[in-house]
Amino acid sequence: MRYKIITLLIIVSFALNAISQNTRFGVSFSNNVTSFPVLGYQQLFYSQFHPGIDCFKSWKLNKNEKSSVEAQIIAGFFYHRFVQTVIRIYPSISYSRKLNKRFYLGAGLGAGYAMAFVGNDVFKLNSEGVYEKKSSLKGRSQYIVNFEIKGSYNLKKDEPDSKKLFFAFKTFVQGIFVPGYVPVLPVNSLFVGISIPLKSKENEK
Amino acid sequence: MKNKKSESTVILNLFQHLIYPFKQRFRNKFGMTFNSFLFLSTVILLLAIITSCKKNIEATKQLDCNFIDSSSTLPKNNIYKGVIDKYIKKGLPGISVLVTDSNGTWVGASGYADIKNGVKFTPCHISKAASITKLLVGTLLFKLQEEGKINADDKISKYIDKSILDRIDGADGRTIKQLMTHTTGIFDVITSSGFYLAVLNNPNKRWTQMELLKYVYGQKSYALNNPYPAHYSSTNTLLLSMCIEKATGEKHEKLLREKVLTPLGMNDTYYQGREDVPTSAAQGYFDLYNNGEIVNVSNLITGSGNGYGGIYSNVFDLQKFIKALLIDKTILSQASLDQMQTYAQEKDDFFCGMGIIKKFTKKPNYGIGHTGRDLGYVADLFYFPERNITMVFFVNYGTNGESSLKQVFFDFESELVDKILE
Repeated sequence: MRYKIITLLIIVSFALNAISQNTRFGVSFSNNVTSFPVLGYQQLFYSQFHPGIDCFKSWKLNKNEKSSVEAQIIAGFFYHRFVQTVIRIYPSISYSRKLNKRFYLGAGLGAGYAMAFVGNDVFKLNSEGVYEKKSSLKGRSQYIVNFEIKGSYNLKKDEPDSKKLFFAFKTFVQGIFVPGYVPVLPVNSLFVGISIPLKSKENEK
Repeated sequence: MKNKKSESTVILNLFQHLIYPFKQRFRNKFGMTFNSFLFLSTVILLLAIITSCKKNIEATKQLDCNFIDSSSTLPKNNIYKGVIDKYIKKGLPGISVLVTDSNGTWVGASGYADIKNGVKFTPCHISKAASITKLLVGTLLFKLQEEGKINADDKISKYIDKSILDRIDGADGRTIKQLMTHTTGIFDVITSSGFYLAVLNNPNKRWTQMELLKYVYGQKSYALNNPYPAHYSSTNTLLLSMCIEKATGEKHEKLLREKVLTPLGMNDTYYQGREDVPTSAAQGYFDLYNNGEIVNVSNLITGSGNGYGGIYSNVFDLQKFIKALLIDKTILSQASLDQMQTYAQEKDDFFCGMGIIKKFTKKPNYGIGHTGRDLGYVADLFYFPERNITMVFFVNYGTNGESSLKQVFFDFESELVDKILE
C-alpha cells in the first residue's frame, strides 16, 4: 500500500513538473502538539516541544503574480515522546495571495499517508501465554488529512522567484487512532522553514 | 520478497533522480551539501529529543522480596495460586495479591512487573493504587475533622473561591459530604477529551488542581437520581483536596504523609505527582490501540497527585492501612467511621460512602474499601466485615478504556472474590 502511494506521488510529481510555471524546494522544522484542531494553535508556543523536519517540492499551477495556486508534495517526520514517531507523506494544494512586495498569505488542504511508530515498548501475547516484545520498527498505517494557514516572506524585494522564508499553522487529523473508540487524533503543527526556487518557466524563456 | 526488493529499489532510484537537482541547487545556494544539512538537522533534533526525555517511571528493578511467608501452609494456597496463574496466562501482565482471613495471611504474585527487562512481579513491588487514593484522602478528611480543622457538613464555598465555583456547573451550595459521596453531579475531569489530548501532549506532566479544573469549567453537570443518587466523579475529590488545603493552610500531600502514611509505617507508599516514584514501581500496560498488543503506558500520567489518584503502594502497605482503619480502628474514631459509611448508590453494585466504596453486594458478603482504575494499572482494597477478611490486589494493566483484556480483568476480580468468600 505504502509503495503504491509513494509511486503514485512520484508519478504525479513528474506530471506537475511538466505543467507547472515554477517549482520550489523547501525544508522546515516543526513543533507538533496534540490539541483540539485550530483552537490548540496557541499551545504550540507554550506547551510541549515535539520536533519534526519536513521537506517538500512545490509547483505553481497558474501564471497570476498576485495570487498563486500551488501543489506540494511533502514528506517528513515528527517525534512525540512516549506516544509516537510519525513519518508522513502527503500532497496538498494551496492558494496564496500577495499582500505587498514581500508578503504572501494563504491557506491549503492536504491528505495522505502516515506511518506511526509507537513511542513505547509494545508486547504481544504468544500462544503459550507469554508476552514477547514487538519490533519497534513495525509501525501502524494511518491516514492523515490536513488544513493549513500559511504566510511567506520574499527575501528579495520585487523578485517573486527569490528564496522565501515561510511559516504554516497546520491541523492534522490522524486516524484511525484507536479502532473502536478513538477514531482520530488531532495534531496541530507550526512549521517554519525556507524554500528555494528550482525552475522558472519565465526565467527559462 | 524479491519483487518487494526490486520495487523498493525502483522507488529509491526514482527518488534519487527526483531530488538530484535540489541537491545541486541547495549546494550552490547555501554553500553546504544537502546531506550535511540533513545531518546537522538530525543532530539538533536528537539533542532536543534527549533533553526532553526524563521519564517519571524508570525501568523496574529486581527486588529481594523477603517476608515471613506462611502462604503455602494455608488451605486455599493452591486455589489462590491457580486463580492468579490462570489470568496471567490469559494476558494480565502481572498480579500481586494479599488475603487475610481467619487462617492467616496469604500473599502471592505472578507475571511480570517489567516485561521488557524480565522483572518478575513480587508482592514487594509497588504499583499504582489509582483511586484508592480517594480512600486515603477521605481518611485524612475525617482525621482533620476530629482535630476540628474542617467539617464534612461545611459548604465548599467556605474553602473555594466563588470565582472558581461559579465556573463549575453543579458546585453551587454543595457540601464536603456531597463531594465525598459523589452526589454533586460535577463533571468528571477524567472523562474530558481535552484533558486526554493534553495528557498525550505532555504525558508525564505534574498537574496542579487549577490546571485540571480548566477541563471542568463550563461542562454540564450530570443528572442525579438517574436512577441512582450518586454519580462518581474524580473532580469531587480534587475539590476536596483544595478544601483541605484551604482549611489547614498546608498541602494535602504533606498532611497525608504526616497524619496517615508515616504513623502507619507505610514506607513503601508514594504519591505520584507530589513525590518521586522509586524504581520498585511496576510498569503499567494497556492495549492502547485496541489491537491485542499491550503498550507500556507507565509514563502517561492522568493528573496524579490531586486527591483522586496517584498513590503507588504494595499489598503489605495497603493491608496495614485497611487493617488500621476498619479492623483495629486506630486511625479514626467509631463516630467518624460511622459517618464515613453513609452510602449513596451509584450503580447496581457500587455504593459511594464518604471516601469509601461498598461493592460486591451481589456476592455472599459485601466488601468496603475502594477500587483503583487507571490507564495502565488497577487495584482493589476491600474488607469484608461479615467475614473479617481483607483483600488487596494490584494488576499492572489498565481497564479504564475498552480492550480485549477488560473482561479478563473483571473475570479475575470476580473469581478471586468468589474463592475468598467460599
